[in-house]
Amino acid sequence: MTQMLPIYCADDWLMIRSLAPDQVAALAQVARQQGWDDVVPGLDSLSLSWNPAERSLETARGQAEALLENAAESPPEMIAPPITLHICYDAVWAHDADIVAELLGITTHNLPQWHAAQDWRVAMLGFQPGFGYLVCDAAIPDIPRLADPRSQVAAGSVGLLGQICGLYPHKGPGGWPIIGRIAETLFDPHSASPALLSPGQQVRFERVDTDTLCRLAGETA
Amino acid sequence: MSLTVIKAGVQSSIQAAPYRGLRSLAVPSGGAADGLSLALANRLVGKPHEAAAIEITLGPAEFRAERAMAVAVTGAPCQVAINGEDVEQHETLHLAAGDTITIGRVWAGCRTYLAVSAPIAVTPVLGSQSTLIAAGFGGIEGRALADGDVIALESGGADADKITTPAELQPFFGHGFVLRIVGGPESDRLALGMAALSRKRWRVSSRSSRMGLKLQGTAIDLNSAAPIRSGAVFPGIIQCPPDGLPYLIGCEGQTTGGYPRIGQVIRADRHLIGQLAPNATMLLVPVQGEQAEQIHSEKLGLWAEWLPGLTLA
Repeated sequence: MTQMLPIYCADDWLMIRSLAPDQVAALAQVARQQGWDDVVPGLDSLSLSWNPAERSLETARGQAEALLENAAESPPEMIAPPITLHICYDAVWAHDADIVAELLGITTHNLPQWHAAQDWRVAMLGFQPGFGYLVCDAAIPDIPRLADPRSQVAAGSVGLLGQICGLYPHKGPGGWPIIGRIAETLFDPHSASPALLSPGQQVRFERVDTDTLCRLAGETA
Repeated sequence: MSLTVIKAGVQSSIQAAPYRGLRSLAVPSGGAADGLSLALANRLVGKPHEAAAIEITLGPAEFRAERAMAVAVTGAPCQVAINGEDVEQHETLHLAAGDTITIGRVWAGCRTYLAVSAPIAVTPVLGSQSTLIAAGFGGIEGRALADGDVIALESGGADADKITTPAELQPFFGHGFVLRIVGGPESDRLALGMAALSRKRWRVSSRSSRMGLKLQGTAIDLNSAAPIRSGAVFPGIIQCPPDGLPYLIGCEGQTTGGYPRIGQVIRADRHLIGQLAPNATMLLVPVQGEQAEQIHSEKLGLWAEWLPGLTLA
């Protein structure tokens, strides 16, 4: 196998690979000041795109190399402030709590406590507008996708897959094992800042009951 | 002041500019699947390249003008008729109030574009009027057009001089396509190198949409099954799912993915993805990044005089 270069280059986008999650968020903050068309964080990578009519491939590659070299210097702290999300772990939403708890080697009863106790951070958004991929430092076994994906999960559903906690912005089909539901709206295209979460942001989960969840989400229980 | 959808067909939708700069929020680019054909249609009715128009998939579809207006049809070749009388693609057509225009089933390619001289009255969301069908916003109620929909038009722009796209600038679509590609981030996993993609003819399966196209052919061997940490994908990325049959990301495809990315259709050829219909065949031809840059600049140069300031994707 050929030596993997730290920067992959297509003709109008490139990707800086093998980054730690905190590095992704920090580099993204710096990159946003450089006029790329898109700055897209991945779990361990950062991708930057440009219009070839405006910037040459050589220039883009050089800028990315410089970005990576200067990464050691402390970047400006522009990460969004920590956010608290109100989560309900009641069985009515936590369809797959039993499976997930068993994989984690804890009881279903203790799963909410375990989940809310982790220091979660937003690694990236992906899959659908506003969908959050959250990571934490706990050693989590590789939780598999549901063998039979659900045709409908509620908006705000909280899933655990692989070592990632995923937050569904919209109702729709879903293959992630679901352990709860949050009250907050994750994506509103009509808002000035459409996505609630942003990469690098810390997320705290505050446990609420179903009545409170529905009240906060503006629904009738 | 409107255009009525009599028959929407397989999938018709309002499409304009892509959503730009929002991929970090997981908002797909979307917009016209074939942005070049959209620009050519808009040119014939005197509108900016990325003005909103109607994208029609495979056809047939039918519309009725509720006021006098100029229209133009570009993209995939098909029979076009006004009140049952055949008219040409790639020229400015004039409709009187009550006239119907039918866009027949495509003979080749996949998508036709119907541009109208009056501005389409759709409120932009996040900077675009384009319909993101999977995400459910933009266009009319974030959905494909349905029979009976009334597309509101703003006043003005009732007329446009009759012009024709110069013959040499009308894209030709057949049943076979050549797409130039560069390697993807995980191309080093291809057991046979880029030849695994280029020395085969691929066929577009029926599992295809604006989001992506499943390709049929000989399954690809990867020399590593190690998982990929989810990261960015862009329109034109070729993913290799576990079944080894490539999945080509379309204009409305998701912004990140976890399957190995084994190739990337170059920017200059990405508008062609919008013309790939089920059963179309394609050859993938590897080029280097610098060549891709050159091809992009040459392609823009070809249309520069007719479509000044054109942006591809």
